[in-house]
Amino acid sequence: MAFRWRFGNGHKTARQSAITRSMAETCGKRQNLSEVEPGATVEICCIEGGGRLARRLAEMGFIPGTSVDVLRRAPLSDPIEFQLRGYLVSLRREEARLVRIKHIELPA
Amino acid sequence: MHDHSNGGSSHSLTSVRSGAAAPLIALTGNPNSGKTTLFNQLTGSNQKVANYSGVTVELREGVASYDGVPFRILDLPGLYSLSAVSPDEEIARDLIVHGIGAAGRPDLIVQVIDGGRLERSLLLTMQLIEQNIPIVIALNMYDEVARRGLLIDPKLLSERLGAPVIPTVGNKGSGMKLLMAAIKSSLNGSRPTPMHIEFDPPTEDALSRIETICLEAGTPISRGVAIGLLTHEPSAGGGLATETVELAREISQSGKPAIGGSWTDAVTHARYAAISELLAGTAGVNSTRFDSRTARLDHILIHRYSGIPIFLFILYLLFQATFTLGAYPMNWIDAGVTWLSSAVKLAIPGVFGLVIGDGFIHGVGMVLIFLPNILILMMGIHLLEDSGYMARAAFLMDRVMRLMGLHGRAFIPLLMGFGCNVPAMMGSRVLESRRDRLLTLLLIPFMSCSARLPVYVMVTAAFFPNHGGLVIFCLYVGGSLTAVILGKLFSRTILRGQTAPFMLELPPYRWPTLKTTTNLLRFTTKTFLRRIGGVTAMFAVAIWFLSYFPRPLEDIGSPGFGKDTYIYRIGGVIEPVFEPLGFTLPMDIALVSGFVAKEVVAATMGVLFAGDAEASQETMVEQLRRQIPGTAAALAFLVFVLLYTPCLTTVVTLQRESRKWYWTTFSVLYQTLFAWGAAWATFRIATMVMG
Repeated sequence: MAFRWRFGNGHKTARQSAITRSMAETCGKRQNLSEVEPGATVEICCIEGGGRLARRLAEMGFIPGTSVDVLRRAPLSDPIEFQLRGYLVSLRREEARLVRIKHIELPA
Repeated sequence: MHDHSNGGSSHSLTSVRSGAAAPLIALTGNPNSGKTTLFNQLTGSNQKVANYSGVTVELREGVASYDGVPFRILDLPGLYSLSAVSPDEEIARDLIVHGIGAAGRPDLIVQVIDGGRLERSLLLTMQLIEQNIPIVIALNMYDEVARRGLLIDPKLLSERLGAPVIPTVGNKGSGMKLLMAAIKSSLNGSRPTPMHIEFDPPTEDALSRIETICLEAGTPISRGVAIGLLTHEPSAGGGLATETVELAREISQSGKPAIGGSWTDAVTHARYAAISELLAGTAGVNSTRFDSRTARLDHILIHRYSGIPIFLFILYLLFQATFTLGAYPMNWIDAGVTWLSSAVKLAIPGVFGLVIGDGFIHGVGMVLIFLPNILILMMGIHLLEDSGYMARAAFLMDRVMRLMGLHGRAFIPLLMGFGCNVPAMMGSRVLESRRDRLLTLLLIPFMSCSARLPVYVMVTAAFFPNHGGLVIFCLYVGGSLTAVILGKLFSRTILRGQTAPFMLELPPYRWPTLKTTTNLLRFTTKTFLRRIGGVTAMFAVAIWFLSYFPRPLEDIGSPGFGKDTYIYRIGGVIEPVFEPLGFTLPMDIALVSGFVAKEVVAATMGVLFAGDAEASQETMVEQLRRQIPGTAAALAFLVFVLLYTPCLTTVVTLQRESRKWYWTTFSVLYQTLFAWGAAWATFRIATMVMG
C-alpha cells in the first residue's frame, strides 16, 4: 500500500511540529546564515521574503527546522559553502542573508 | 473528501500516445544525477539529436529495445523542481507538463536519482507523481551508496512511493535490464497507486475548488497543475482559458494556508515533512552524511589559501600539456603531410596534381596537424567537468565573475568556450536571467576556442620556439582579461541590471570513466574531421583556385602562383586595412577567410605558401618564418586572431540564442573593431620594445 501523508492527523513527527512551532515564532530579529562562522552547525528558523528566490531556497531543502553545516567561505570570502540534507551547496552572502537561524552549535 | 483529487477525473489526463508507434520515455532528474550516462547505456550508439519545434536546446533522443519492443528515450536537461528558474529547466518542465509540438507528453518518466542525495531528489518525485504520468525511479550511483555506508531499501521505498525503484550504476551499466523491465511492465498498465500527500485543510479546499472550476470549464487538470495555479506558478495556466486562470487566481488570493505565510510555503513544507516520514525506515540514519573523500579533497582544493593557486596551476598545466605533449604527434603529421603532398604532385602531373597536392592536401593538412592539441585540451576540460572540479571552479571564481557583472555559474560556459564557443553559447542556458545570458553570449567569443589553437601553435612554433607555452598561456589570459574588462563595461552601460541568484550545488568528486572519455574523444575527432573534410577542404581548394588563376593557357600545370591572380586582386583591396598592423598579403587573405572558421586561417596559409616556388621542400614552420615579416607582426597577428569573430557558426548560434539581430550585429562589429585596435597597439608596442 502506497504511502499517504496527511497534514496533522494525530501523529505529528518531531520535525513537523518543529516547523509549525517555528513558523509561529517571529524570527525577524534572529541571526542570518551569512553571519555564522564556518565550522558551526545551525538550525533554520525561517526564510525571509517571498518570491522566486525564497521558493527555490525552500525547494532546495532550506526549510524551518533543517540543520545546516556552515563549511567554508570561498577564498575571496564570498560565496559560502553549506551542507544540508546530504549534499553541498554554495550561496552568496546576499542570499544566505535571507535564511534566519536559531540554535547555533559552535565548533568544538 | 479529497479523494477525487488523486484519481477520478484527473486520470483522464494520463498522456495519450503520440502518433509514433514506440512509446516516448523522458529521462529526467536533478543536474549531475547521471542522466546522460544512463541514457548512453540504454541507447548505445543508437542516438540522434532530436528536433522539437519551439525548443532551442538540442535534445538527444535514442532508441532502446527490450523483449523486442522499441522505446524512444529522450534525455531532458536537468532540473531541481518543476517551478523552473532557468531556460534549461523551463524546457524540461514544459515537456513534462504540457508536452511540446507533435511529440506530446511523454508516456512515462524515468527519474534518475543520485542515491547520495535521495532526500532532496524526492521533492521532484512528488511533483512528478502529481503530474499523473507513470514514473519509474532509477536509484543511480548505487555503488556509491553502498560505499558510503548509506542504507537505502529500494523495495520498501518503492512500496511507499507506489512507483518502481530500480538500483542502477550508470557508468558500469548495471541495473539496465531491470530498469527496462520496470518500464515495460509500467507501460503495460501494472502500476500501483502512487503515494499521496494531503495538505492542510485550507490548501486542500482551495485545490479542490480550482480543480472543480477547471472541470466545469471542460479542461480537467492534474493535481500538479492545480498546485501550480494555487502557488502562482506562471507556466501552470498553459492550455487553460484566461477566465479559468483568473478564477483560480481569485481563489488563491482570497485564502491563506494553515501553516506558513504563503501557499508555496505550505506546499513545500508539507512535501519535505512527507519526505522525512517516508524515508523513516527506508533509508538509514546516515543518509545525510556526506562522503569523506569529497570533504578531504575540498579541504585542499577550495581551501581559503590553497584554492586559487591550485586552480591557476591546473589551468597552466592544461595549456602546457596541450602545447608540449601535442608537439610530438604534430611534427609527425606535419612531416607526413609535406611528404604526401610532394608524392601526389610527382605521381599526378599537371593541374590535377596541383589541386590535390597544394590545394586539398596542403590546406587540410595544415589543420589536421592540430588534432592532437585539440584532443588534449578537450580531454582536459572534460576531465575537470566529469570529476566535479568545474563546479568548484565556479565557487572559487564567483567573486571574480561578479566583477564583470556575471554569475559564478557563467564561469562554466565561459570555460567551455576554450573548447569550442558554439557549445559554450548553448551552455549559457544554465544561467537564470536573460541579462546574464546575453552578457555571457557577448563575452564567450573572447574565450580562445580550440580552433584558434592551430594558428597560435603554428605561429609560436615559428617565432617563439622556446616560449610557445608561455605565449599561448598569455593569449588565453589576455582573452579572458578582455572579457572581464568588457563585461564590466557592458554591465555598467548597455546591460545594466541585477545578476540572478546564485545557488550552486557542489557534486561529490568522482572518477571520470574511461568510457565517457573515449566517447568524447571519438566524438571530437569525428566532428573535427567532418568539419575539415567539408568547409575547410572546400575553402582550401577555392583559395587554391583563386590564387592559381587567371594565368596564361600555356602556363597551366606549372607550379607556383603569379602575382596577378584573383586572390591578390582581392587582397589588394583589403591590404590597406591591415597595413598599419604590419601584415602581409597572405596573412590578410587568411584572416578574411578565417571569418568562416578559424581552422580556415591555417588552411589558407598552407595553400598560399604551397604555391610559392621556394616552398616545396620546406616544412610549414619554415614557410611561416619566411612569410611573416617579423616578431611584432606575428604577435599582432596572434592578437587579431584571438579577438575577432570566431566563426560563422558562432554568429548563427548567437543569433539563435539571443533571438535579436541587433545583438548579433553588435557582437560582430565590436569584436572586429576591438581586434583591429588591440592588434595595432600590439604591433606598435612590440616594434618599439624590440626595435
